Amino acid sequence: MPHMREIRDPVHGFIYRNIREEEIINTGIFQRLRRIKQLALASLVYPGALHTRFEHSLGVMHLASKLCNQLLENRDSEEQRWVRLAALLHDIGHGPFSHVSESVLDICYDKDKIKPKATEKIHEILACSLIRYSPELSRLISDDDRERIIGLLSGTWGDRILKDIVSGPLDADKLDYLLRDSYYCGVKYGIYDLDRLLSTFEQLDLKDGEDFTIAVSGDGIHSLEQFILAKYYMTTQVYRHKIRRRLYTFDNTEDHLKEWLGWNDELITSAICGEKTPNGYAKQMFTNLYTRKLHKRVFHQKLNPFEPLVRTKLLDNFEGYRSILESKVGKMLDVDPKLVIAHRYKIQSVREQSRNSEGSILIIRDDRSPVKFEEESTLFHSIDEAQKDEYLDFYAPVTFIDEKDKRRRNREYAESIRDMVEQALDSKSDQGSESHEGEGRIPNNA
Amino acid sequence: MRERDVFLIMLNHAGGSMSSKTLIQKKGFFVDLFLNLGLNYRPHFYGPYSPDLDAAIGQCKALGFVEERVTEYGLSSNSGFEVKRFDYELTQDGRIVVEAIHARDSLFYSKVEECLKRLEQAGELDYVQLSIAAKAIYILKTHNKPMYQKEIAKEAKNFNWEITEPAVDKVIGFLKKLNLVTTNSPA
Repeated sequence: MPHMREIRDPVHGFIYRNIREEEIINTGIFQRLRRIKQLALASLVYPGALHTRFEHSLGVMHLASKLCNQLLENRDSEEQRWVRLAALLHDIGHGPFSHVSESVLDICYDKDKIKPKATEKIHEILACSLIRYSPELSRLISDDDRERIIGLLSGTWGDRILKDIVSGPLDADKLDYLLRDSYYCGVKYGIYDLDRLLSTFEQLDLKDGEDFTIAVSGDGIHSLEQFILAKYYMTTQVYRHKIRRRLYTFDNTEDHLKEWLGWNDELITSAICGEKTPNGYAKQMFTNLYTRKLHKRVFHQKLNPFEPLVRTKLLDNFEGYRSILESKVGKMLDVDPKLVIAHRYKIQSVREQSRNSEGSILIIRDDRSPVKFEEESTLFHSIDEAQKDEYLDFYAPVTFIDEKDKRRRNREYAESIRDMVEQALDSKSDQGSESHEGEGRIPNNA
Repeated sequence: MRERDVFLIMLNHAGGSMSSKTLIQKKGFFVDLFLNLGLNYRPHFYGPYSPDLDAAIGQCKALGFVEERVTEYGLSSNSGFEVKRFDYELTQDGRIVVEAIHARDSLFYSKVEECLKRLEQAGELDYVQLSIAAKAIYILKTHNKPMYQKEIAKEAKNFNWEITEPAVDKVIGFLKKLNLVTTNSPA
C-alpha cells in the first residue's frame, strides 16, 4: 500500500490519503472547493454551517474506501483506486453556492452546444468536462484513469456495486453529508450509527456472480432505519428550512471552464454587492442576505386546499404562473413585486426517502433471500407509501412589529393570498389570467 | 402530467375504480407502447414498471384526486415479499380533473380510451396474465428478433422474472389480437 498521510477530520477522525491523492487535493481546481460552502446560505439560519465542499469531498473518499474494504475484498485494487478518486472528485463541478448554482446552470446553459441525454444533468456534464480537460488533473491522473472516474461518476462505466458506492441509495456521499451537515449545523437529526451500518453492508449476488449490489444484512435493519430517518429529518428540518433558498451559460468550451473555476461564494458576493455593480435587484437582494435582512414567509400551504384544477396548474405550469403570482402578492402587500419569491416544492414520504431512482435498499434475510427494506422494517412498513406533500410558499420583504402582529398578519395573508392564487389560476387559459386587478391590498405595516 | 392524465383516464374508463397497482402499471405499459408516450418503463419485480406512472399515482393520492385502499395478504411463499393489493378510486375532485383533461385535450383522451378498448377487445386478462404479456413484449422488444415461447421464458430469468413456457403460450393469442406479435408454424 502506498505511504498514507493523515488529515484530522471532525466527523471521521483521521482521513488517510496517499501521495498522489494529496497532489490532487493540492491542485487549484480542488482547493477551490474550500471556498464553496456545502450548504450555501444555510449559515444564515445555522451559524455553524460554514463547512465546505472541500472537507465533504475528503469525507466521501474516506467512506468510499471503507465501503470498498467492506464490499470489494477480492476485487482488483485498481477499481478501489478509481472509486476513491471518483469519490474525491465527485463535487469538483460545484459552482458558487453549491446546489443553488445547479438550477441556474439548468436555465442558462448553451442549448445549441450542449445536448444532455435524458438522465444527464448539466452540472454533472460540467464536472466530467473539468475532470477530462483540467490541465492540473491531466498531469496527475492518466487519460485512462480519468475516463474511468468520469465513467463511474456518470454511471456509464463500472459494475453495479462500484456505481452503488459512488451513487446509490447508500452511497458514500449520503453517508458523509448527513453526519457532516448535522455536525456543523449543530442539529442531531442527521446522526446515525455509521460504523454499525457499514459493518452490516454485504454484496448481494443479483445474477449468478455477474452482477452485485449493496444490501444490508438482516441485523442491520435498525441502523438502516436510523439512517433513513436521518435523511428524512435533515431534508425537512435543514435542507428544506424555510429561510434557505452569466457565469451559468455553460457551453463546454475551455474559456467557460476557466471562467467557472475562477468563481466561488465570496467572489460572487463581492462582485454583486461591490461598488462597481450598479444598484439593482440582484445587488439589493444579495446585500440583504449578507446583512441578514431576510424575507419573511408570508404564505405556506399544502396544495390540497386549492381547487382541483388550480392544484394541477400549480403542479404542471408553476414557472408559467410564477411571475404573475409574485406580482399579485407584491401588489397585495404593497412591496416591490420583483422582490417577492414564490416557491413550490414537495417533501417525499419517509418511505420514499429509502429509495432513489435505482430502486430500493435490499435486506438479506438469514436464508440469503433479499427483501425490500421498507417491507422488512416494522417501523417503515407502517408508514404510508404515497404520503408525499406538495407545498406553495411565498416570501416577501415585510417587517413585523412583534409576534402578535406577525400571527395576525400571517392569518390575513394566508386567506388573501389563497384567494388571489385561486382567482389568478381559475381561468380556462393555461397561461393564467391578468384580469383580476381589483384584489384587496394589504399594506405592509397594517 | 402525461402520466397523471393516463392514470386518471384509465381509472375513469374503468368506471372510477381499479384494483391492483400491477394492473394499472401493465395497462399503462400497453398504452405507452401504442402511443409512445415515453413513460420510462423499465424491468422491475413484477414486469415492466414505470416509476413516472408510480409517482403520478402517488401525486394523485397526495392531491386528493384518488383514494387508495390497501389490502394485505401476508408473505408470499415464493418471493418472501409481502403481498398487498392497492386499489384506487376517483374522488369528486379527481372527476373534475378528468373532465378538464377531456376538455383540454380530447384527442389524447380519445386515443388513451381507444387503447384501453383495444386491450379489452383482445381479451380481458387479469393482472397476472397481463403482467406476463407485458414481460413477453418487453423481452421481444429488447431482443428485437423472433423468439420461441421457450426462449422468452428462458430470457425472462435474466430480468429476474419467473415465467413458464405454457404461461407465455397462454398470452400469445392476446398479443396477436393486438398485432404486437405474429406467429409462424415450424416448416
